Amino acid sequence: MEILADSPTVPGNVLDSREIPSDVTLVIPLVCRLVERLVQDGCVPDDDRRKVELCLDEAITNAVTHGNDSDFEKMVHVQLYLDGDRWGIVVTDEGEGFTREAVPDLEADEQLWQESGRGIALMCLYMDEVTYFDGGRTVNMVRRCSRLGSGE
Amino acid sequence: MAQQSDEIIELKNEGRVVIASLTRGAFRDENGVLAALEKLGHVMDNRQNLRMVLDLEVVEYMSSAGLGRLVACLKKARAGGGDLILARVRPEIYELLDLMKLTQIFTVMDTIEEATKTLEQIA
Repeated sequence: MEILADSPTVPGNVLDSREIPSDVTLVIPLVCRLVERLVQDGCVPDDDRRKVELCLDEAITNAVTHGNDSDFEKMVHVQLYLDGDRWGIVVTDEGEGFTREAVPDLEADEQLWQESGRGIALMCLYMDEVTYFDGGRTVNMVRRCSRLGSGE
Repeated sequence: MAQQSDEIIELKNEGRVVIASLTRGAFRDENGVLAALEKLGHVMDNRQNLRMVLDLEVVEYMSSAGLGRLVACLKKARAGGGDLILARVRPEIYELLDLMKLTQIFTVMDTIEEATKTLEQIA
């Protein structure tokens, strides 16, 4: 997982573009809508739906709670796109960003008892690429479309 | 602890063991599951020698926030000299626990009966 300083360019065709205020109760309904679109478009097979729901939930929840500090006045912006044989999602918050050092190293055994910090690790497990931009304010996650292989 | 029930979690005594069962756990119920685990954590506050089985049979989805709350519950049980065992964990949830190496700290058992018996045998 990289944290870059510049802004991402959304490639390909935008399938859906939405924004929500920073309220965690709005995350799951948004994820349901986005994943339904991906399933309908043949990008995600039903077998992988739960993994994709998890990655989108983690990315958007991070933006709401950590990025925007659950400030209802701040928005989270989401763009779902198709780029050749891959789909992706860009999630942007209006917070201060973060550094690599702020993410716990879960490989260390003493970190097993941590009560937070597993979200990015889960995203990296199930997505093919996870890259942060804008100093951590934007994440771009990419996965191969199911019709060309599950990406795992 | 008296038997209690609310919308999403049920607590009952089985001898010296408390059995906590989540009653909903679909993806759309995630916020309720998080609230239930938070509430369970409060129930466990300052309890000495608490032996608890956490029945996750209906839980189909768990995010990192849920995993964190499970860890918090385990820490509270162990801090008070007790223990917590996860029972009836679905394969997809077990996979998450395993990938996050949490099977190194959690005891996971197939049935409530097996977990209860194990906890009753703790001195």
